[in-house]
Formats: sequence, structure tokens, C-alpha cells
Amino acid sequence: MATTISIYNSLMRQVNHWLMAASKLSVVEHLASPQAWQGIDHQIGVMLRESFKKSIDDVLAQATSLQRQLENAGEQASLSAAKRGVQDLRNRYLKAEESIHFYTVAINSRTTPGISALLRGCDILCVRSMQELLKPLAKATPPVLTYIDKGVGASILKAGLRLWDGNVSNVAAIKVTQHNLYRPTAIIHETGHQMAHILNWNEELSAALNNELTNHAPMVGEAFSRWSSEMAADAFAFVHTGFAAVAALHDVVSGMPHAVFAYHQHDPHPISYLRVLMNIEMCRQFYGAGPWDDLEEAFKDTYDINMIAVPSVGLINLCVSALPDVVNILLKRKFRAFGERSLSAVILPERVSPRELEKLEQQAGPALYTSHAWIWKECLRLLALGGYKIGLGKGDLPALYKQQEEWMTKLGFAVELN
Amino acid sequence: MNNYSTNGMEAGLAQFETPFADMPLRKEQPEEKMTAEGFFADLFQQAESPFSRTYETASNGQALSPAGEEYVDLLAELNDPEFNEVLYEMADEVEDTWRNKVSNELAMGNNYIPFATKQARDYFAPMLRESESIIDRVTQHFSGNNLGDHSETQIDQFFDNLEFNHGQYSPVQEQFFGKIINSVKKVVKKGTDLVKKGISVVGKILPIDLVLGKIKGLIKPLLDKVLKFAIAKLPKNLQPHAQGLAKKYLNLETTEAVSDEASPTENELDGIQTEFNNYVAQLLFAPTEPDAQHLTVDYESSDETLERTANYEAGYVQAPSLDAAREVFINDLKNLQAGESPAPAIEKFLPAAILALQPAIKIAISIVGRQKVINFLAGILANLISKYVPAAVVKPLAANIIDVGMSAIGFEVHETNNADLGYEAIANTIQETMQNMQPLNETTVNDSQELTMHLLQAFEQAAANNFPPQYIREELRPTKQRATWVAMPRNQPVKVYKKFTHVYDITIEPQTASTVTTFRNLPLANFLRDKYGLDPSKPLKAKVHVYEIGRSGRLSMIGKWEKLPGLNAQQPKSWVQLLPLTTQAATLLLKEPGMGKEADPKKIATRFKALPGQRYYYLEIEGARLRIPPVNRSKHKHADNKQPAPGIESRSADIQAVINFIKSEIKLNYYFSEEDAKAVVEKLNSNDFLGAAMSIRQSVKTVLNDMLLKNVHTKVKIVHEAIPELYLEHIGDQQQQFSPRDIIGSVTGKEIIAKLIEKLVEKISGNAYEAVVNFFKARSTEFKQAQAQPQDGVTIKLAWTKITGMATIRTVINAIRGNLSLGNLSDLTIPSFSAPELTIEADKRFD
Repeated sequence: MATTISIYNSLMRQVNHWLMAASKLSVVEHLASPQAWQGIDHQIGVMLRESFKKSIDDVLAQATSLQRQLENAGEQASLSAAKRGVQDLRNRYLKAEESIHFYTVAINSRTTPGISALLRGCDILCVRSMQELLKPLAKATPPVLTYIDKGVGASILKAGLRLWDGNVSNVAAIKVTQHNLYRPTAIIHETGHQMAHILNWNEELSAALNNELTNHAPMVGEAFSRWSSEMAADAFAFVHTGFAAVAALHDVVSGMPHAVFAYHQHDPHPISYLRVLMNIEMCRQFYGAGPWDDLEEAFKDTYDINMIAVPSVGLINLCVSALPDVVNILLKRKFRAFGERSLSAVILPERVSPRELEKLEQQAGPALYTSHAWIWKECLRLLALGGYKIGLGKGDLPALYKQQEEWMTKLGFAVELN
Repeated sequence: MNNYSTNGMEAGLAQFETPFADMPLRKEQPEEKMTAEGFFADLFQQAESPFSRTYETASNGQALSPAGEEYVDLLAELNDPEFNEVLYEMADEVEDTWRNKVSNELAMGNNYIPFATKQARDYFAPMLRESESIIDRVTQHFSGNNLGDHSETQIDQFFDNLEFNHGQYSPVQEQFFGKIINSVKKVVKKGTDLVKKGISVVGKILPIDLVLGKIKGLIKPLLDKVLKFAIAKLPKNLQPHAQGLAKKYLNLETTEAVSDEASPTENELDGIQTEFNNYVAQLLFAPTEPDAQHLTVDYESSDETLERTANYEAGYVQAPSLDAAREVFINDLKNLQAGESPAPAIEKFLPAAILALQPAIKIAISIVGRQKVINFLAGILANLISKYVPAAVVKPLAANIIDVGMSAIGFEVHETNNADLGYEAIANTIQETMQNMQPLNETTVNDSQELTMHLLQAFEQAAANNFPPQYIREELRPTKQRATWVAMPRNQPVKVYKKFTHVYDITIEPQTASTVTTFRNLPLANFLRDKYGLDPSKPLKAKVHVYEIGRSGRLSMIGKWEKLPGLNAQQPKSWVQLLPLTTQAATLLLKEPGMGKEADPKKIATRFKALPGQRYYYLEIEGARLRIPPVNRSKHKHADNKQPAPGIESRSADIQAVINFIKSEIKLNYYFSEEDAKAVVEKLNSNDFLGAAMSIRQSVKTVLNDMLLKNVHTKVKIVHEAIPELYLEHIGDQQQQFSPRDIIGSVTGKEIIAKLIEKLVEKISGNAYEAVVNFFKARSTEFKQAQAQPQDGVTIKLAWTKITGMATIRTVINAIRGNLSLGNLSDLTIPSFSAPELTIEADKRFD
């Protein structure tokens, strides 16, 4: 009997502990600073609060039910069931905490009004990039919350996926890396993932790559097919930002040679060497000759495939020769996902060609970077233009970065605070 | 026979048609048709050419002393339409300080106003300190120096370089400081000017530090008036009183009485500014320190004086609160026993409704006999609504309202299970019936048949608006939708607006966007481009939410209580997205003309004058975000280049004309929104000169000139010693004192002046367009440079100076306003204008 009581007490204490913890977690004001909350879009704030509440309510409901179960438990058998219940409760709490913590870290990265504005600018760029494609297809564009984090590459927690605690995320959370804050073309790569998810493009693209690269070795189609999701995102970044995305990608993946040539069977990313060349091929197919030719020359010189001995060399060489066809499928082939149109027909990469960007600069004059009307209308092309100039590596680079920062901040300040 | 008779008045209700679908239909009495054509033809015939006549009286002198001219000139300088906007926004913000702390203001009773006042004082205290400190800094600079030693440029430089390191203030508070600085600057400049002109002009003026010190004392009473505006407690005769201040100073007649027909809220903000500017101006012209002291005391106590006067005129009868009376009425209806008549409850409610909504009826009733008429009206209304009052009927009525409104309103659970909404619909109908009643005269009130007709007509419309459509005869339904109007906000006892329970799904075609006009005649296309950065040349899908402002509501309140994407309490300036639902807008956007309400152009000249009963719509467009560009709107510098929060949405095209008869000059300011300016520059930079010319033509000729010509009453500032009101809209419609009245019959002096100004404006705007076109041919780089500034939009400023012929018109106006006799005017013509001087400035820069 004494054992039963001590078990009961122990279980009850644990239930109370998780109950208290969940109650604490439910105070959203404790999770992020008021300034951080204020720095995010109002609608996103409302959605996240609702989502947090749902996660916590689930834990609270389970804890309360367990409390009642324990209060009525007299038998050893019921206590055993309660023991399992406590374990479940503990897991559920930790998963809810994980989900909430993820977003609160994201929110808390909006440390100052300036950073908040910059990130709101990124939010707008992300949403705008998807809207352009999704709206004509009568698909809703999810809201986006961008946040700053360390590291080399950006990432996304897509809207519409199950979170750690089983609830579905309704806001896409996109990580912007610290180093790329002022030329964040990578966030458009991430919205490419979201777009492909919404339109089920990945599957369609994967099948097309697998089936249609018939004049190449079968392993080429199979390989590209496995990489389709990342290629889709690259293609999306390219049609929106042109060479800027290509140059930024080059800088991100240009690590140690063994990493650039490395092939990992289950990695959805193409071999970095191939990926850079594929992006350069996109430029070439749409814009002809240009600074990407120099970039390719330098890249191939730095990462000389003839000087490296890695198992993937054979596959790489086969894939390199397939790149023109791959890019053709990626950008010029019609897909069901886009209403039987090609990606480059829906979002014209020509709009961000060097010539068109130059024309934009000439048409707008100096107002391009100061007028809120220009910034609002052309934010994506401004991203392409800034990234292009930085990609060229000429001129006053610190001034270019500063210019990027300033217009992005203006963009972020142009919409309401929470 | 369904008769209700009392005190000798009798009406057979059954002979009239009710709006309800389930009542028997009967023939309506044929109405006598009024023909307006004859009246207007006559008016225009007389007013078209006021100059073609020859009046044989000789005088070419001027009515005012030079000091009077300087005074009017300063008044015109001080007048700033944006100041009204700042006051409005401040009232809105100050109201926020107590809104969330009060769940039921009716329950607070007499404690409500003191509580709100306390909250407001806390909000105003730091502003007051800062305003005083700003004035002190200016005083410090200019005291001890001979004012005449300062050149205009030096004064401009001093104010341009003033930097402030004040704490954290809201955008609107920052804008208020900017306006105070601007007013002080105008006073200093005028003071300097007067000193330079010498003693002959004004006799003498007080030392500027003393004047500025007294102006400091005006800030607190000014802020108090903002609070009173927020709680709807401003004396309703403030505007005429404020105009009277100038007239008294100028020795003009001040015989204007405001009739009860005038809307008390219409000119409140103008009234606050006019009064403040007059005291500021009079302080500069005060001959002695005691005079100046007297002015500040007078300003501090002006509200009390006006209230005393109003109370005296009203016989010290306090109007009961309509909101409280409405609540009592609903409770009375709920508590009626089976078979009991609602007439006594209506009798109890009607006096409050009439006093609050229909002062015109009040007058007629007071002549005939108050209780007699009220009992009569109550009897008819009771008959009309009695069948809907029993619980067994009102519950399904409530259920029907909930049914048609659930998706748009989102009723709380507690509302879905009781009959309150049914009683509310009945109360709304009675209240709106009173609101809809046409002005009655003594004869109508005495004629029971006539009175019944008036009432039924008003009731018909009210019932159709407040009952679900299935309760209303089909031909009376204002809408095809299964929807009705519901008082909002649902969780507050005081209802400030109504929401239509149907949300329209529409596509705005480009043609529609360019045809439908919004405030001040601005095309919807411009609004969509400027506010959201949308491209209206492509079809746009939108959800349309429809609202009507309540008696105690302001347009901004809708934004505070709605919870829609883009229209909610968190969205700054959300209310500026509400647009007037005119018949035109309702027809073209909703395809339901009956949903619109025709609005007097003066009342939709600006969103800051929205009136009770007017309807508005909000376009919910996916992805559309109201832009609030990061522009320093505070009009003053901050230390360390600190940027205050922006707080004002991106502006749309606007225009202003200033006709200065004293200086014989005319100014025309064309404001190009950032989007409009961008469109022009983009084409210029692409060497698309034809396209640029088309854009300029569209902006200047189609939009701005049209806006000016259709809003002469509000967009033209008139600087004339006999028109201290400055705007035609402020001149009372019923002024009888104009001298030519006896000569030209029924046309009032205001109409003649309006015609005159319209002619001038028509001519000057044509001339201006040519000037703008020439400017772009020669100096387009200046426009490009201004557009590249980080401000919002570009102003093209045109000025015609030393215009010959202005002096003659000035004399004519003096004569019209009774200051002079008319001379021989046979040679009077509208002046011809040479090429104006043209300057470009970034941002909106009106005079």
C-alpha cells in the first residue's frame, strides 16, 4: 500500500511539474521580448500566438486528464497506465517546447528596430517571390517569418508541415545567414522549396529528370532526379534574381575541394561542383555570354576536376555534359504544377538579365534606392541588381552593401509594425 | 381599423403601407412632385455673370486698415489643413489611452468623463512640457534682438537648423510639435515683417518674447479641446465662434447664427484650428500686455462661455444620452408582458432620439407641443413594431440576423442564444426612423396625415436597413443579398458604427478603378496605386466590407474595432483605407446602387470630416499592404539625425490654390504622389516623352485640376480682408447680410463669391497646365531630383504675382460682403495671367 502511495505521489508530482511548465510556457510575453514581438508582422504574430496556444492547450489538456485519472486511480493497474501517461505527457511537453522554442528563437532574432525592419524586408521579398507564381494559379501564399542565424547556408521550415509536436505549421520560417544578410538571394531559394511543396513540383520534376535525359547515361537522370528538390529551389532563385543568386551560391558552396566534389547518396543537394556549373548554365542559356563565364573559369581553376581524385569524378563528368539538357527541363519544360507552362514562362528570367537591370537603373535614376514607390514595386529586382553588382566584385563594394541595407530597411519600415 | 390617437391627433395606420413583407399592401398616396429645374435655372441665370451688371455707386476705397490686412494674411499663413489631420489623429490616440481600460462607459456614468480626462492629461502632460520648451528655445533666440534685424532667410535658416533631442513620442505627437514650430515661425516672420514695415502699419507690437510667452499659454487649452473632440464634448458652435473672433477683430458684421440644422461635428476640427489661429494672430497684434493676457484667459475659458451660451439657448435642458436611453429602451422591450403595447417604451425613448438626431424636428415639436407629437409618433411606431416584440417572434428574428451575419460579424456564443439582436434591430429601426425624418415645420407637425406619411417613409427605409431581408417587402430591399446591418462593436454598449453582414466578392476592372472616385474626387485607381502599390491596370480581386458610421462614431473607430487583415487595431492608420460608398461606388463595385449613399462633395472632400450616417467600404485584397513610408513627417530635425517613426500612409495626389487678394497673387500647388511622380520620371528617363506627357496630362489635367474644380469650397484658400473664413465651405450658407441680395434677388453673396472664385480657378488651372508642360520641356531634371529625394512625392508650386485686375475683384468682394458700395463694374473681367513662377519641392508642400 505504501508503495502505491509513493508511486501515486511521485506521478502526481511529475504531472504537476509538467502542468506548471506548460502553464509557464503559455505566457507568450515571456518567450520573446516586446520589441521582438513588435518587430514581426501583425498577422504572423496572431498566427504564432494561436499556434503556441494550441500546442500548450494540448499539453494542458493531457496533464489535466492525467491528474483526474490519478485522482481516481486506486489499483496498481491504473497506476501503471498513469505511469505511461506521465511518460507521454513528458514527451508531449518537450515536443511542444521544441516547436515553440524554434519560433521564439526566430522572433527573438529581431533584436533592434533596424534589424527588425531588415528582416521584415526579407519577409516581404519572400512572400512577393511566391505570390508572383502562386496567385495566378489561385494558390494561397503562406506568410513568412525570416530570422537570422549563424552558418553558411539558409534553411526553411515550410508552412504546411508537421512540427515536432504534431501540429501543422502555418508560417514558413526562413533562416537568413548572418553573412548573407545584405544579399539574401538564398531566401528566394528557400521560398522555392515552399513553392515546390505547394505545387507538388518536386515530384513532377524528379520524374521528368529521370525519364527525359535519355541521351545520357541512366545514372545521370537518376542522380538529377534525386537532386530535384534543390534544383527546383535553385531554379526559382534564378528566375527571380538571375546572376545574383548564382554568384551568392558560388560563394556559399566554395569550401574545401573535397567538399565541392563530394557525393553523398542521400543528400538532396547536387554535388556542389555540378550545382555551381548548373547555375552558370542557366545564366548562359538565358543571357548568353557574361560575367558568369569568368566566374566559371575561376571556379574550374580553383576546383580543377583533373587534379582531384574522388570517386564521384566519373559521375560528375557525365552530369556536366548533361547540364544544358537539365537546365532545359528545369526552366523551359512545361509542368502541370505551373498550369502547363514552364517556370521561365511564368517568371521571366530576362527581367533580371544584366541588360534589363541596367535599364531599370536608368529608368528609375537615383530614386530607385530612395523612393518608396520604386522599392516597393521592384524589391525583387533590386535584390537581383544589388546581388549582380556585388557578384561582379567591382566598384565600391562597401557602398553597395550599405545601399542594399538601406533599401531593405526602407522596405521593412514601409509596412506596419505589430 | 388600426388607429392610434392621442391628444386630438389621429392617424389611420392601416391606410399606409408598411415596409414589412407580411403586411397587406395598399396603394400609396400620389406625391406632389417638386421641380428643381426652374429654381436652378433661375439661380444660374442670375449668378452666371455677376459682372455684366453696372452698379452706379462710387467707391473704390478699401474697408480695412493695413493692420487688418496683415492680420488676415497671418491667419491665412497660419491655416494649415494638415493641422486638422494631426488634431484628429491626436484625438484618436488620446482615446486609445482609456479605451482598453473601460469595458462599459455607460455603466461608469458620471465617472466616465473624469476618468477619460485623467488619462488624457497623462498623455498630454509630456507634450505640453515639450511644446513649451520648443517655444522657449525660439523665444530665447529672438528676445533681446531687434526683430527687424532678422532677414526672412535668417529666420528660415534658424528654424530649419533647430534640432530637438526630445524623448520618445508617437508619430502624431511629433507632427504636432512640427505644427507648433511652424505656427511660431509664422508669427516670428510676421512680427519681423511688421517691424520692418514700421509703426504706421500696426501702431506697435509687443516684444516678441512676450507674444511667444503668451502663445505658450494657448497650448494647454488647445490640447483640452482635442480631448473634448475625442469625447464629443466640444461646444457645437465652436466654428462660428472662431470665425466671429476674426470678424470682431476686423470690425466685420458677426450676425451669423448657426441653425440647429448644421451638423455639430462637421466643422469641429476646423473650429479648433480657426480659434487657435485667431488667438495666436491676435496675440501678435495685441497693443498692450493686459490685452494679450486677456486673450489667453479668454481662450482658456472660451468653451465654458460657449457652453453657457448654448445652455441658455437650450433653456438649460440637458439632452439625455442617446446610448443610455437606447439601452433602457431595449430593456423595456425585453420586459414587456404578453399583449402589452410597446408605445410607452417608445414614448420614453423618442425624446432622447429626437434631441440627439433631429434637432430640426425638436423645434417644430416644441412649437406644437412636445408630448402630443411624441405620443402620436410613438403610437404609430408601436403599431408598426408591436408584432415583432413578443419573445416568440423576436427570438427567430435574432436567429435570422445571426444566420445572415455570422460569417461577417463572428458573433460571440452568448449572443447566438438570446433575443438581444432582435430587440436591437427594433431599437435601431426606431432610432434610424428619427434620423431619416425630413425636417418638419409647424404645419406638417399639425397635420396628422402629413406627419404619418413622413414617419412611414422614414420607417420604411430604417426597417429595410435593420431587419433581415425576408422580413421586408422585396421592392424595398436595398440589397439582393441575404444580409442586414448590425450595430458594432458587439462587445460594447455604445455602438459607434454598423456593419453590413454580407461581404462582397468583386473584381475591380481597370475601367472601374479609374471611374470610381473616392475622397476629394480622387480615382480609386490612384488610391490602389498609392496606398498599396498595386497595379490597377489589371483586374484586381477584392472582398468588400461595408460600414456606416454611427451617431457617436468617427471613421477611425471602425479600424479600432474591426479584426480583418489590414483593418484592425494593430494596423496603424488602418482607417484611411475606408472609402466613401457613394451611389456611384455601390453601383460600379457592388452592382447594388441602393447600398450607396449620395454624399455632399464637401463631406467627402476629406476623410477627416466623415459624418454619421455616411457609408464606407474597405477593400480586402490579398497581399495588399498599406504602405507607411519611412519619411520624417514631423517637419523638424532631431538630434543625431534620429528618424522619428513615420506614422503617415503614402499620400495620394492633391491640389491647393491660394488666391491672395491682398497681395494680388495666386498660388497653385500640385502634389504628385510618389507613384505618380515615379511614373513620370520613369518615362522621362526612358526618353518616352510622349508617355511622360500623357502621365503629366493624366495627373495634372484629369486628376488634379478636376479635383480642384470639383472642390473649390475646400481646396481654395482665399486671402481677403472680408473673408477671414478663408474657405468658401466656412462661409455660412444662410448668410443674409450681403448687400447685393436686394439687387440680384435670391442669389446669396456666398454663391456670387463662389461663382467668382470658380471662374478664377477655371482660368488659372488651364494656364497652370500649360506652365507645367513647359516646365517639363525645359526643367525636368529638377523634377527628377525631387523625386529621388527620400520624401513622399513631389510638389510643383506655381505662383502668379502682381496680377492686374485682382484689386477690382477684391473691391467687388468687399462690396458683396457689405463693406463697400459697388462701383462701376461694367469693365470688370477675369484677369489674364502671364506665365507663373514655378518651383519644385520634394514632399507635400502646401501653403
